This record gives sequence, structure tokens and C-alpha cells, in this order.
Amino acid sequence: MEETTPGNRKPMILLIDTNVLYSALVYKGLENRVLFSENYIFITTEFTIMEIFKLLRIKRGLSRNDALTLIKSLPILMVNYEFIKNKWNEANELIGYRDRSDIPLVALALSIKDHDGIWSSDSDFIVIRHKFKIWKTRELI
Amino acid sequence: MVSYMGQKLLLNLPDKDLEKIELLVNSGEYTTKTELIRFAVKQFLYSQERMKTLEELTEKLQKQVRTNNIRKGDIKKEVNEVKKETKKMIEKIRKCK
Repeated sequence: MEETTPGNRKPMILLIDTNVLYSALVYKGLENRVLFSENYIFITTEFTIMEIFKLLRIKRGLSRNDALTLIKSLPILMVNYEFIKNKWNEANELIGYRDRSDIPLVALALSIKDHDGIWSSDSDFIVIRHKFKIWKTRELI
Repeated sequence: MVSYMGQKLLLNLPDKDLEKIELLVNSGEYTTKTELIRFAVKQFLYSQERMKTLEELTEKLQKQVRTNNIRKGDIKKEVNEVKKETKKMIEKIRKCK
């Protein structure tokens, strides 16, 4: 894994988790600054996108149309289950015992060779920090 | 492009574009072709139109959250609730495997 900093020229590829993404959307805080910074290429799984869709619809009461429009306009690349399924069991062994809902993102991290780490505020990812850089929001400003 | 990420990616580009890519890399504008492609992807993701739509919709959300005094702790709870459903879905996937 290549260690880079936000100041470097090459845009970093970060795998984004639901908690920081949702926070970036509903607050004009640090997460929002990172999301709109244009310094990164974000990638996530359809599981995260599904969670965001539910949060926007159920918790924030957005219309289906607005929720879909918002999701389509996110500066994020999304991969589907097919893309990560070969790494599913390995991801399960790494993090499944802590939190099963984190399996897709870890499977994604295992599926992409050239990424720069995971952006999340979830403490469960601590168990994979020997394998991947886990970025805290403040480190990305 | 996404479904091939992490593997070799074959792009059929016209000679003219390939020449431009070579030129940009050779002139030092970009250090590698990978860097150039990352910039191209970034440019696509952060297009003005996309960002304008996103800003309009997030402003709406942010206003709602401010007005209803929804705190970070509440947001965390909301995420955890939704993640419970994901866990159920993942359990189903495990059973189907």
C-alpha cells in the first residue's frame, strides 16, 4: 500500500464507510469538507449505498426521487456484490466476529489492490489496521 | 470501469487520444498513466453539474438536521439501526453460500 498524504498530487483512492458519508451529507462539518475537497476518489459497495438510501428515505424523509438524485450525484464509485464476493470469506474471518455489517467494505479493500485505505469512524476497523490504513476524518483535511 | 478495478483494464482509445496520453506523461504533466487516469476519474466524479445537485440536496438535509436539532449521537444511532438490517441481509447471504 502506498502511503500518501492529501497534499500529494495523485488523487488518493479511499474506501468510504456509511458513518462518515452520512455525516458528510447531513452536517456541514469536517466530513463534508473532505467529501467536497476534490482530493480523493471514493469507492464503496452497494451495501453502503443501500444504507444511505434507507437513511435518506426513512430517517431524513427525502422523497424517493430526491434520494436517488442525491445518490447519483455523489462523487463516489460503487461496486456491486459480484465484484467483492471472492473476498467475502476472507473479510468475514477478518472482521465478521466484530461486526458483520463491515464485511462488504473489508471485502472491497481486499478486492482492490491499489487503494490508499478506508475512511471510517467505526472503531471495529481497528482489527484490520495491520492490513489497511484506516483514515480518521481529521487526517484527511 | 468499476467492475474491472484491481484487474487489468483494457481501454479502446483512438490513436489520437493515446498519443495525447503518452505526450502528457512524457512531458511530465503526469508521472504515470495511472495518475492520469485517476485524474480523469476524479474530474468525472466532481463535475460541476453533479456537485451543484449534491450541494442543493445536502443543504436541504443540513437545514432539516439543524432545525430539528439532530445531534451526532442521534445520527450514529440511525446508522446503527440501518446496519442491523444489513447484518440480516449478510446473514442471508451466508446461509445461501
